[in-house]
This record gives sequence, C-alpha cells and structure tokens, in this order.
Amino acid sequence: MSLLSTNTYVQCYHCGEDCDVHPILAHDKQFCCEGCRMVFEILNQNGMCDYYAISKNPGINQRIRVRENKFAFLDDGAIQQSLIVFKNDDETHISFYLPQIHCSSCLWLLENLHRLDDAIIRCKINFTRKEADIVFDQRFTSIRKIAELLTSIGYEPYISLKDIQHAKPTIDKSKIYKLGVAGFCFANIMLLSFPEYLGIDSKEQNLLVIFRYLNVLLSLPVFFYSGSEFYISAWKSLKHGFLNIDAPIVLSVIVTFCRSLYEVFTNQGVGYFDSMSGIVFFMLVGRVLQDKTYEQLSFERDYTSYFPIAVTKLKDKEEQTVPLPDIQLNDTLLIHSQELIPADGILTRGKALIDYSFVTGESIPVEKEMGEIIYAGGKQIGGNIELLVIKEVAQSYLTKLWNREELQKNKKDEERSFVHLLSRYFTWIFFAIAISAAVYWSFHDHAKMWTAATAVLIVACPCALLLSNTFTNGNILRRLGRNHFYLRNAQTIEDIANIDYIVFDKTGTLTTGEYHHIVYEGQPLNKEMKIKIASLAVQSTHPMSKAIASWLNESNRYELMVFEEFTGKGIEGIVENELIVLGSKTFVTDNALEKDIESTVYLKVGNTILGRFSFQNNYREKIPTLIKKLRNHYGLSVLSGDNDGEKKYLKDLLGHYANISFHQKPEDKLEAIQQLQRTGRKVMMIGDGLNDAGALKQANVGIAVTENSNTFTPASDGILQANQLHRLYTFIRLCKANKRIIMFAFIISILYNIVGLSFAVKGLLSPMKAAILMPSSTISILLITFGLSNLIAKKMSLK
Amino acid sequence: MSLSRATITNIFVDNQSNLVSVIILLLIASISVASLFLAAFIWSVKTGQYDDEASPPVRILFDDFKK
Amino acid sequence: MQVEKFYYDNKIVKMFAYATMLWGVVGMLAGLLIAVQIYLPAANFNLPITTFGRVRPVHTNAVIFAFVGNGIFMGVYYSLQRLCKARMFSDTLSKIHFWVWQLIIVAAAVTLLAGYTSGKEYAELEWPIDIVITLVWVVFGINMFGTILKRRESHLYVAIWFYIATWVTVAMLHIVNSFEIPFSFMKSYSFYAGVQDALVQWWYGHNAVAFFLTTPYLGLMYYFLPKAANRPVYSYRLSIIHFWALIFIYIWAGPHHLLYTALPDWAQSLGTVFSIMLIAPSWGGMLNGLFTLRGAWDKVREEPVLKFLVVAVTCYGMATFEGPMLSLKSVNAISHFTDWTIAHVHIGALGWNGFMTFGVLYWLIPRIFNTTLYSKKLATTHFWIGTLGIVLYALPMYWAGFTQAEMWKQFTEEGQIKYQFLETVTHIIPMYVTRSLGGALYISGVFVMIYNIWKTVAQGKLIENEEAEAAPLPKVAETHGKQYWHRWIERRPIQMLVLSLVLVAIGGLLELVPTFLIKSNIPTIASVKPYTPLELQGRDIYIREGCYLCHSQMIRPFRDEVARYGEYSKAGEFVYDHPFQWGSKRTGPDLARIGGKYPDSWHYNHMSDPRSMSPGSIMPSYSWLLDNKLDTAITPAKIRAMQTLGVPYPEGYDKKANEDLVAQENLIKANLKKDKIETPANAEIVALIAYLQRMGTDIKGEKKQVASLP
Repeated sequence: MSLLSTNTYVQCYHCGEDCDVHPILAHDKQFCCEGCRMVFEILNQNGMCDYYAISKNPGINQRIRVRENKFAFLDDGAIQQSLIVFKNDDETHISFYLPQIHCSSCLWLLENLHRLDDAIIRCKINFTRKEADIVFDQRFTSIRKIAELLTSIGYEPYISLKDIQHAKPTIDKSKIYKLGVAGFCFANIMLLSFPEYLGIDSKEQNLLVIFRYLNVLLSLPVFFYSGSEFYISAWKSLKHGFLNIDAPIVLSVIVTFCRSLYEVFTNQGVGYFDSMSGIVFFMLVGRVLQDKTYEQLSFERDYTSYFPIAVTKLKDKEEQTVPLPDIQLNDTLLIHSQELIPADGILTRGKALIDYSFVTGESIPVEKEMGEIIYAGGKQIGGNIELLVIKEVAQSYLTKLWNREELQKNKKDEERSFVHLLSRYFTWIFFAIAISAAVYWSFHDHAKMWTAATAVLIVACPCALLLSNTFTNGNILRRLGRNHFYLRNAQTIEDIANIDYIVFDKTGTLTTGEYHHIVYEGQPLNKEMKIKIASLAVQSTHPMSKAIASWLNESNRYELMVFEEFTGKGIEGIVENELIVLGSKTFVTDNALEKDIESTVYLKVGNTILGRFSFQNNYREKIPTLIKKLRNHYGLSVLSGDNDGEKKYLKDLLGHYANISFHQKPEDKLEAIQQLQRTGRKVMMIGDGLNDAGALKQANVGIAVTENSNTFTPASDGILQANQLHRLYTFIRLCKANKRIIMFAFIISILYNIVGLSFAVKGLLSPMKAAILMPSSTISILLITFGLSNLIAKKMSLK
Repeated sequence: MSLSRATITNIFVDNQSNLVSVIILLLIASISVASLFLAAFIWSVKTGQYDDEASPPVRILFDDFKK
Repeated sequence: MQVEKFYYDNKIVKMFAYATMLWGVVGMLAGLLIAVQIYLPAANFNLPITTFGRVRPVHTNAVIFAFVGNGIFMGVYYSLQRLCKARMFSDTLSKIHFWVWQLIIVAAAVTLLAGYTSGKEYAELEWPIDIVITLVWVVFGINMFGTILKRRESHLYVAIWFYIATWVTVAMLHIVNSFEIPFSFMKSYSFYAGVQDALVQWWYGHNAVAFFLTTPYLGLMYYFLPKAANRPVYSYRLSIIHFWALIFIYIWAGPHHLLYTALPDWAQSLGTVFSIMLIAPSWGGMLNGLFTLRGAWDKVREEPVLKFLVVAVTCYGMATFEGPMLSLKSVNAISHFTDWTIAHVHIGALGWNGFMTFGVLYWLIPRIFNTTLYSKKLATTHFWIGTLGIVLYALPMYWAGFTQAEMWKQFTEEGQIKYQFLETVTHIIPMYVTRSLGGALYISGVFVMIYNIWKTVAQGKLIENEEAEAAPLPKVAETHGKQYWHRWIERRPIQMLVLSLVLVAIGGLLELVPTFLIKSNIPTIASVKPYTPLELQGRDIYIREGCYLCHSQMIRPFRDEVARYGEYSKAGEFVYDHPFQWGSKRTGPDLARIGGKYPDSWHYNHMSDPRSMSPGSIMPSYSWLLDNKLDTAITPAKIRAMQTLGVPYPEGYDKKANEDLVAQENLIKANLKKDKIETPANAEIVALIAYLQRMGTDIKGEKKQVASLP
C-alpha cells in the first residue's frame, strides 16, 4: 500500500475544480469526477470539443449526479401543456431556465444542441435571462429527453411550480418607443428651429412658415404619445388625491404646447416646441435609465419558484407523477433524495435527513424519525422517504406565511418620495408668481398678461427636479449594482436612506452557511491520524464530513479498504487496517439512550472514542467592524431561528442595546418587524432564507443576502452578494448621499429657473432663450448628478 | 456697365428665397429617411432585437468553431 | 423541418477582394501621379488625358468608389452571409452587382480621362453612368435585403444596421444630387444652379463621406475587429446607441463645407452645430473599437491584422475629432482651400479606409482559401511601411496647409498683400515632394501585400461554397404567434419585385417634385445675365479640364481675399451656374474675378505655356486648346438645356446662338491679333478666354473689357 502524494493542484479539464487525489484520466485529460468525464465524452464523441477552446474550463461540476428519473414528470401531459409555448404537427417550442449558463462556451454548446440530438431543430439562448428557447420535433424526442440531455451535459433545467402558475412577465417596452419617437422628433424640431435662432433672414418668410408648420407636425407625436407617460402617472396620483411630481410637469408641457400652437397659428413666432420635446426626451431618458432592471435577478420570488412542478405520488404501491397543485390531503408522496418537500406531512417510511437551508439558512441537516412532522421547504438529502400529506400545498406552513393578507399589498412607491413633496411646494410658489405676473401686467400692459403668465408656467416645470432625481437614481443603482448590491427599483434608494433600525437574520446572513469553524476536543491527533481521518471523511458528501476533511488540511490520502455511509448517522471505514468511525454520538457510542448534541461529530478509532468535533458558526469576514459602525447610527436586532448558543458573542458584538432573540419562527420574525414599525421605526431587514421572507416583505426595506447572484433568494427589495455584506454601511451612506445630490442639483436648477423667471415675468421669454436654458440646465444637471455621484462613490472606494 | 450697391444687395436677397426649394427638397429627403429609420427602430425594439445584449456579440465569434 | 445545410458564397467575396486590390493600386497610382505633377509639371506629359485636372477625379473616384467601394462589398458579402446564417439572396444578382460595378469603374475612368465630367466633386460621373449606378445599387439592395429576409438568425447584428443605413442613405443622396438635364449622350447640366447646387452638392459630399466611407466601414469594424481579436465587442449596448445617434445626426452636417461662402449664415451655422454634435457618437464608436482590445494588447503585438485595425480605428478617431474642429468658423477660415483639408481626408482615406481594408483582406483571404497567411512578417512590414507612409503624407500636408494659410493672410506695413500667390505655392513645394514620397511608400506597402496575398492564394485552395448549418427561423414568432410581414414577401419573389418597383416609382415621383418647386423660383434679375454661347462653351471646357480642382471661384469676406482677388462673392452672381464651380481647394489662385484682369493674349500664352507668363508656376500646359476645334454643332442643344433649367434665353435663341458665338469669337480673335497672335477659326482657347474674361464682371464695378452681347 502506498502513500499517494499529490501536492500539486490538478484542475479538472471540464470544470476547473480541484481534482483531489485521484484525478480520472481520459483522453490525456484529468477530471475531478466521473460526471465531468462523462460530459467530456459526450462532447468528444460529437466533435464538440470547441466547447473547451472558447473559454477555459467552462464546465459545471458534476460531482452530485442528478437522479435518473428526476424528469419523469415531464411525461405528464398536463405538465407538458403548461410548459409548451407553441406546438404544431412537426414542431414544438419550449423555454427552459438554465441557471448554470455563465460563459460564452455555454452559449456555444447550447446553441449547438441539435448536434447532440437530431430531433432538436434549434436552441436559442437568451444570455441575460439564462433561458433557452428550444424548437424540436416532438415525433422523435420529448421534453423529458431534452431535459435529460441538458442535464447530461451539465445544464439541468430548473423547472418550478411557478412555470405553470404564472405567465412569463412581459417587459414593458412602451417607454422605449416613446423615447425613440421623442428623440426623432426632438432632433428634427431642433434642426428646424435653429434657422430662426441662427438668424435666418426675415425675408425668407416662406421657409420660416414651412419650418414652423413642420415643427407643429413633429411636435404632435411628442405631445400626444411620448408625453403620455407623464400624463398617465399624473392622472393616477391625482385620482388618489395626491399631487406627484408629474402633475406640474404635465401642466407645464400642456401650457407650452398650447402657447406654441397659438404663436405659430397667429404667425407670431416659432413657439417652444424644441424646449418641450427636449424636456420630454430627456425626462424619458432619465426614466429609462432609472428603470434599469437586473433581468437575471428576480425580486419577486415566492414559494412557487422554489417548489417543484410535480412530485411522485404513491397510489396502491404504484408511482405516479402528479402536478403539485393536484396534491391532496392524505396523499402519500415519495420524496427522492435531493428533492424539496412540497407540503407539510408526516414521515411514514424511511429515515429523513432534512436540509432546511432554503428555509433557515442553516445547512446542517436535521434528522427526522418516523411519525414526525416535516415542514415544506426542506430538502431531503438522505435516501428516499415517504410522506403522508397533512396539509395541501397552499395550506402548508410556508405558503400560509406568504399568503398573509398584510404581505399581499404592494408598497405604494410613488407617494413616499420626498421629491413629490418638494415639487408640490415648488409648484405652489410658481403658481403664485404666475398669478402675480398676470395681475401685474393686467394693470400695466394688458397684452402681456397671457404671455407673462404662460411663460412663468413654462419655466416653472419642475423637470430639472425630475431629471436630477431620475438620473441620480439611475447612476446610483448602476454603481451599487457594480458592487453586487442590486436594488429592485429607485425608490429603494430613498427607503434605505430613511431607515433607522436594522434587523439581521443570523444564520446564513451574519454567518456563512458553511462550517469551517471547527473545534476539536479530545486526544491530540498526530499527522498520521489526521491523514487517516481525512481520507475517510472525504468520501462522504455530507457537509459536516466535507468540512472535517478540509479542516484537517492534509493533502495526502490513503486508500480505503472498506467504506460505508449510514444516512443520518455517520460513516465508517477501514483505513490502513484501522476502523475509523465518524458520526453522531448515538451512532459512535452505539448507545441509543445517549442524547445527541447538535452540531457535534464524534470520532472513534478502533474501539476508542478519541474526541469530538464541534461546529461553530462562521461569522462572515469583517462583520464585527460593520456592526461596530452600524450600532452608532442604528438600532440593531438579531433574529435567529437557531438556539442561543452564541448569545454571549452576539451581545458583545452588538452592544447592550441590541435586541437578540433566538428560536424565532418565521411568523415571530414578521411580528417583530411589525412591532418595531408600530413604534415608528423604519426598519431594514437583512436575511437570506425563506423563513425571513415574511419579515423581508414587511420591513420598510428587505435585503436578501445571497452567496452568488444566481442562487435563489426570497422576495425582497434588494439583493446583496454575501461577500459584500461588510460594506453595507458604505452602501447606506451612498444611498443617503443620493438625496443630497438631488437637492444640490435641484438648487442649481432653481438658479436656472430664476434666470428664466426673470425673463418670464417681464414677458420676455423668447423661444431662443428657452432653447438655450433648457439644454444648458439639463446638461449641467446631468454633469452634476453624474459627477457628484461618481465622485462620492469613488471616495467611498466603491467600484 | 456698373451696378450700384443697392442692386447688389438686391441680388443677394432675392437669391436667398431661391434656396427655399432646394432646402425643402433636402428636408423632405432627410426627414423621410429619418422616419424610415425611426420605423426601423420601433420594429427592432418590438421584435425583441435588443432583448438580449449579451449573446449577439459573442455569437458572431462562433463561425470559426465548426465540425 | 430540420437543421438546414447551406453554403456561403466565398467566390463573390474573392472577386470583390481581387477588385479591391486591383483598383486600390490603380487609384493610388493615379494619386501618386498627381502628387508628382503638382511639383513637376512635366509629369503632365502635355496630353489631355494625363493632365492633373483629368487624373485627379480618376484618383478620387477610383479610391472612393472602386477601392473602398469594392472593399465595402467584399466585407459585406463576407460578413452579411455569416451574420444572417444564409447564402446571399441570389448568386445571379451578386454576379450582376460585381460585373456591373467593375464596368462602371472602367467607364468612369475612361469617361473622366476623356473629359466627360459633371464638374461636381465626388459626383463627377455623367448621367448615363449615374443611371447605371442607381440600377446596380438597387441590385445590391435587393440582394442585401433578400439575404436579410431569408436569414436564419433572428437578431440583426449591429454591423447589418450600418450596412442598411449605408444602402438607404447613399441611394437617397445619389438620386437627389444627380438630378441633371442631359443635352448629349455623355453630357448634362446640373439641375440646380449656384448656391442651390452648392448646398445640394455638399449635403451630398459630406454625407457621401459619412455613408460611403464611414458607416459601412463601421459595420466592418464591428464585425472584423471582434473576429480578429476573438473577443466580443467592448459594449454592445454602446454600439447600438452609437448607431442610432449617428444616423439621426449625420445627415445635417453638410453645410460646414461652405462656411464663409455665399450660403446664408444660418445654414452655415447649422452645419457647424450638427458637426460638433457628431463628435459624441463618432468617439463612442472609436472607443468601443479600441476598448474591445482591452486586455488583448499582447495579441496586437503579434497579429498584423489587429495592428492594421487598431491604426484604422485610431485614424477614425483623429479624423472625426478634426472634422468638427474644421467646421468651426474660426478654424475653417484658416484651413479651407488649403492642403490642411487634403491632410484631413487622407488621414481618413489612408488610415481609416485603407488600413481597415488591408486588415480585412489579411484576415479574410486565408480563411476563404482555407490556409494561413503566407507571411506574417511581410504583413508586419507592410504595416510599418504603410504607417510611415501615412505620417510622411500627413505631416507635410498639415505643414503646407498652415504655411499657406499664414502666407495668404500676411500684409506689409503699408497694407499691401505681402506674398504673391505664386510665392505661397513655390514655398511649399518641398512639402509636396515629401508628400509624394509618403504616398509612394504607402503604395509600395500595398505591393508587398499583394505579393503576400498572391503567395497565400497559391498555397491554399478557394472554398467556393463553404458549408454551414443552422436551423431556419421559427415560422411562428414567439410573440403572440403573429406572422411577420416580410414572411409574406419572402415566399413570393413576385411580390418582392412589385414592391421594389413601387419604391422606385415613389423615388421617381419624388424626382419630379423639385421641377415644380424650382421653376417658380428662378429669379429674373436683369443685372446678372446668362452666359453668352461662347462663354457657355468656354465654361464647359473649364469644367472638362477640371480647372475647379485647383482654382476656386469663391472670394470669402476676408481682408486678404478681398485685397487679393476683389469684391467678395455674392449668392446672386451664380444663378446661371449649372453646375456651380466654387471649388474646394486653391492650388492656384481664386478665379471668381479673373475677368478683365489680364489681356486676352495673356491667357492665350498662359494656357500655351504657363511658365512663360508666370515663372515658377506649377500649372500644366493646355497647349491642345490652341488647336482643338470647338464643337459648335452642339451649341443649340446646350442653349435648349439651359432654357429648360430656366435660364432666360429668348425663345428660339438656340437657332441664333451660333451667330452670336461667331461674333464674340471674332472680337476676341481681333484682340489677340493686336498682340500678334493668330488663332484658327473655332479654336477652343477662344471660348475659354471668353469665359475667363466674363467671370465676376457682372458686378465688378469696373468697365468691362469684353463686350457682352445684347
């Protein structure tokens, strides 16, 4: 028996991951696992190894194989119907979500899918949405086969309950059309207005008249179509008895348009069509920028995105695939390994080992015995189990939480922003000025009354406020996004700036879901023993076992004589003629009367119990620093679903005023937030699991923390990549700066308005002055907002 | 034959109105072409030409990877 | 329905590639010849067809429409097929397109050398060729849109948008600018006159630069640069914005070619404003190109193709920055009419278009011949020779431009003009010599390339039909199952034909519009009179010999110009100029007020041997004008054509025109005789003298030396 020594790091040719000790060799290439090798074989046989030439190690790790008949449910007609986009005699169109898409190799491979299966006609990838639109000939293949083919090359389609329940959200493109029309008309109106400004000879009357009427023509689409964006929004809020920022803008646009029409038709001048269309154009640009969406992320996920589309039901000992909504009380479900529990039920057969990390963030699986209740949302990681449904999907614990009435209503975005309030004051002031100007001129020079009053209203358009608001918001959203903090919309920026209380979830949020923090108690282990233990531990895919192997930090391995894994209990094997056992206390001591201690693994070599490994939560990097910064400015709470083992540590971290609660159920968390809000607090909730979902939605701002932006997060206002959590305070400060920038830009724009007003009240606002004021104020505001927000972001050393 | 300044100015001015026709012609041509492109723009947004900005630039590189 | 197998047509690409190289050499050699002629008048060989005035249009037309034109088609036929995942719509149309285009080029070269020119820069070709160009453009259009319609890739890559914009806009420009009234098989008069003609011409001229030399090449850049670097374009979104912004602004920059001219001020300023706006999209495009290579500069060091592309894109950036600067009035006051403009356009032509074409050739030829480039080393050599050539070309020209402008504008303390025009010319001759060396270097680089490509072709074998496969577009659009309108046309070639005919008809109808517009607007001012038949004939000789290429007819309202040439030009002076002859370059002095400045005999001797009258002059000799017989048989046709255009000759004047012609001829002959010069009857020189002596005299405020006719 030889000591295999591999100190060099071998990368898997397929996925680029570490190949451990025994790289699998095939075609002179090394693979980390059988799965990766098999994908390579498939591609190699089909002459598609260019996959590896486009990007380096493009594959997806295949160590965890997908259950063979996982996609059997796709043979079900009803489910097929719900997935098919289009179908006729010789072709079927279907769309799959493939979360593994990540590089150009993926794009190439998937778009060449027809080379792996002749019945596939085309496969088109939408990289942004990670979707594959597949057209195939249903006479020669099936949806199931395609799903399995995709899985076999490492792109397992993600099919969830959501796919049958909701239609795909369509992106509203009307703003883009409006923008295009406004841009076209604006450019041409500008062109036709210039001659007048640039001193066209008044004797060229014909030309002037033609230009003016062309302008009228070109302004129609801007006024009636492009501008409708603002009319609709103003009308909606007016109906709710609320004056939002669009209302004065609409008034101003209408006044400008009518006055311009009057001027042109009475042959008095060119009117202000260029200013009007310019304003509409720039405001639309701002809105489009602000509406920047992170298409690959979803802020609206509810339980349906997590739940499978179908499960296996046992009826008279026969397996039967049923769509999830058809599950009824007292059905017996067969839950396979790695499957999600879709409904609350009682374990009737098998040994359950449930990973509730989806729900709680805690990734140490929980053991359940026969007769125990298993709640929906957990994932079975042991063998197959059978479950008697005691609550329908819609009635189960998690779903009920979601369906609570107070969570169903959407927050009213519009009316919260300070911008609307500001614009209201602004509007009244300008109304006053307009009326005074009109009154003044009605006494002095009656002819100028209307000119002056309408000119004031043209100038009074708070579009500068809207522009600075939308452009700053858009830019801040972009900057935050670059730092992996994605916000659902612009209103969230302001909400973040306004919070005064922060609530953290503990597991998965403040701590990582992984267990690298291990404390060993017992007889000291020598190097030889460490290698032996590691050689054993590495064989299991159980997270605790894997964590022990990596904690031991030994790169050498022995070959195992015998290895056996007892699901939910532990593992044992013979290494170098020694029997080593790792597992729970009951398993290792072989004494069923012992009480298991959570998060602890016992070690037995031969017949001696050498010691135990206890797992401790691993707090994320720099969290203590973050907390220290935050606790000076915000009230803090930690709501943990776990036991209170780390109470002391948290107390030290958060200061004595912080509220720390343990054993919090999802509804407790929700309740806690509501409690805080009742005392007038504006609360930000930061969590990661489904158990935080209610709280996230209830909070003024709910931020979901995720390990990488592709994994699932519950519905929230923002998604924050976990390794950026320590910069939360900086992000909040940037959001606060947002308001100051808007105010500053607004003050500048008021200066422009004063200049404009000084002409307007005297009845001297000429189209040319308006044409100069409009773009110069617009451009300076854009420069200010972009410049300032970028400068501040840079100062905060954000990307 | 000599001409007074007045005549010169007169020529200058009168000839400008002469420009009307050609400017109108250029306007008609330019605006109709621009409208054509506006229509093209709307078509391209409508048919989802710009729905995915990530894959098209990558996709054109794949010609060279064939069987 | 299954994945379809189809074949890319590489043969047509090869043909266009060869034509590109062939015409590149021809065009550049013509350029080299005229570059030498400018300091060595003997190089004009005293033959009409080798004289500067005839060779220069051949140079510009060959480089723009033959070299760059074929380069565009090469790049489009290669990339469009691959971007659409479809073979070109019709092989026959491809072939017609290729051969007719080459035929046009040959016809252009022959007719231009023979002196058939419309006298409008960059649109010199005469009406029969204009019509053929229109037809072949329609053929290209059908072929391109046909390919787009039958594409198998739903997304239209940004390069295709640039190609579409090129086609649509060039079609419009060509049609609008080419309105002309033919009066013989190969000759016509421009539909517009004077200021109108100038405006249309430079609206066309600028946009031709924009949509023939820029947009299609931007399309090529967006395809070949990422391909050559094997990485996607830096920002696809930026490229989309780049395209739409460029399209909506470019059209209106034209008038910046007419700053300080008789064009109304507001129209001039309009050109300036829009030119300045253009910087943004142009630089957006350039940066997008350069940033694509971010992190791949090591590849640039090894790969000559990328070297060419990088320099090309950089030159694009330089030229598009310089362009708006040149359209600022203060800068334009200095640069216009000097060699600065020549330097500017050659940065674009040699750097942007030339280098981009070379890069594409080096990249594409080995691919369609299924081999690798014969020698990277030679290609790198070509790159360095070419770059050095550009530098040696551009720097002396910038220097010459500054020097010229500065010398023109200097006054002595007494308020006299300091330098005679000829002094300003002889002073910059060393720069002209250096420039021709730069040009020669550049061409030698092209020969290196041709050798390299010839060897590459020899070692490979053309894949005439390159196999590819792709699935057809889904019959049903994923959006609501509606059918696209083009599907309807696609399946029915007849419908497509009808549709294109309708479009052509609309185009034709549009052509009629100006007829009505213009007729009513022709001013009838007594003081400016139509040209006499002899002057008209003389003017046509002036146009034929390409005098406008070196002499302007536009005195700008600057102190030095008024002092040097006389009263500045007014719009009203040009109402009968079909076409206008304002010119764009002053290699020789302005001629707007040349009439009456010298005696007839001076002109006679000057044409016979310029250096006998002004020693050191670089003007070629036009001695054949002394003997050539004037074709008086065509005079009536010319008069009638002018009448159609609204020139107020009395009714039936065409029949009497030749009598007046002879009468005026005799007067000039008598004048010449006083200076002991005998001319045969009907000599062309007499007509030319008549025109020269007439120029600018209508409002010259002095006594005319040549009597005008009743």
